[in-house]
Amino acid sequence: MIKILVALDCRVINLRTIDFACFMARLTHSKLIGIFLEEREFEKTPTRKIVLGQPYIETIVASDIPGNEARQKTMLENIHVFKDACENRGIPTGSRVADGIPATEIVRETRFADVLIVDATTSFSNKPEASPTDFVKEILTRSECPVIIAPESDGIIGEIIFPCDYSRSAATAIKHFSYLFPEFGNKKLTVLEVKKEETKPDADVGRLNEWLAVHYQNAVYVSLKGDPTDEIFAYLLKRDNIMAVMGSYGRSSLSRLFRPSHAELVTKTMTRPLFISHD
Amino acid sequence: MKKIVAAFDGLKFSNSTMEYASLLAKKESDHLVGVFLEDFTYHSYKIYELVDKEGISPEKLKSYEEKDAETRANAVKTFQTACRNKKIDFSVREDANIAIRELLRETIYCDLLVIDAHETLTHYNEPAPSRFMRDLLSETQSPVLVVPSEFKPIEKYILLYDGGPTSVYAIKMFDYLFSRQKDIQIELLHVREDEQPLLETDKKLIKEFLKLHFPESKFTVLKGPAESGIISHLKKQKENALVVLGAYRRGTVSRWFRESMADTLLQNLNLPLFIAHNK
Repeated sequence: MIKILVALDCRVINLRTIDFACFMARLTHSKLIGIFLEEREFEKTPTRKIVLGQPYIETIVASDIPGNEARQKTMLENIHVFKDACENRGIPTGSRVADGIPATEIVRETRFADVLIVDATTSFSNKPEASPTDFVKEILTRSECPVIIAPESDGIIGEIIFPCDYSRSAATAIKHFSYLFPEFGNKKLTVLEVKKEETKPDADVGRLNEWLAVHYQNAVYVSLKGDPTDEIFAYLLKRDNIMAVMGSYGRSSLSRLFRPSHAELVTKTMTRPLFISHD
Repeated sequence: MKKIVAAFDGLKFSNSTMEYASLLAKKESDHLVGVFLEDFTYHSYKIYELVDKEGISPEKLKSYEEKDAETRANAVKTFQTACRNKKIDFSVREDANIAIRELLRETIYCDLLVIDAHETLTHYNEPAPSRFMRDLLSETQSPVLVVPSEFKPIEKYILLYDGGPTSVYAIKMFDYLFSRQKDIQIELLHVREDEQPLLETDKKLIKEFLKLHFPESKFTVLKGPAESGIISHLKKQKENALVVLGAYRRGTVSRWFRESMADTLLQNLNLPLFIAHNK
């Protein structure tokens, strides 16, 4: 039994994300906890604040904001929808409202959770954003547990695809995935390797093989030639009913400026679930 | 289902590592890899023993080398026989490359590493933790079970929790990887160093986490300096406990000034330690 978190925007609820989270929770007999995120602009009660070195009492409170009551009502309704969805499927559940800085709140929760499910379009910005949004990117870099980007289509998973460059980050991702979801051990696992040019097989193939043999009954290797980022992306898009396991975002932020990370490109048009573990 | 790597010094075979490793790998689907570390700079004789009146005598060198090779072969044989007797699926690796680098590559593709706390890979006696162990613990990619030189069955699990991300990570890894016996007591130990109590939200979250992962665990909170508090608490234990801790994440430079908790425990106690860190 593991603890699965699902990050939800309390203003708009994404039923597909909830469906997917419930599917994962049922599969692993886990507890599903909904974290309803709300960006707090004003406190509930007057508080002391400091501006330009001068303390003052902020007397505008949340209830003074027009539409506050309606917002509270929508939130309660959304929590109700989530709870109903879980209870109808017989999943132990809990929910919490996190009203602070959304990313900080969720990172604190991830320390004590096994996996976090989030929708790539979750955003707390007033402007329209391309997915993955800044909020999702921040979570991906700061989360203390693996993150699953929920798919936009139905979550039936028949195959696991593991893009592997024989780095420690890739190995950590597949290890975490297998610890959390041993239920997928009987599914087909594709180790996808993309090389720019023909080279000798990696010295670690044998070691990886030995590890895979213990955890997966049906593992196959696919080797492609070309630019890794594009090829992996194209390969994933061609397939349905898959889950991709990736260990990127481990690179320092500096190198990412020059080289867009795999996971980022993939989440952009991702309609398949994506498991990302970044340490 | 696990792939466990047991690291041995072929010249000083550790029975305790063997015992602990086979205790963990007894499930049918588990795989045990015996890594026999060899380093061409490491042999059982001292260089000046080779020197006589005419300089280094080739016969003497040959006989010493043959003796070492025989000791190493015997160690491998002991390992193989023990695995066969216990019906454990196994493989053997003898690496003549630089020991530490090979072992670190192994840890990328294994779930758990078992090693004797006194492993030094030199013929000098070093107090634990040896330089070899320090390097290994700070660079390892999988959790490590550091075992004492004498095997004793595990009667209790003590999880050290300092509120930080690494300690929670270690506890998670312990839960995923360790097939625990049901009737063994689990204790979560937290030491409050200053007057500041645990953050109220963190307290709730860790309790929720424990309820899901270790429902029968006990939560002990001590006051005072962490290092002496933990050591005296561990020394008081009547049972042979296994201690779970996250360690060695701090940068190397800061470790020159303050030792990691794992170093302190290795110096003062003779208990098996489960050490994991996430970077």
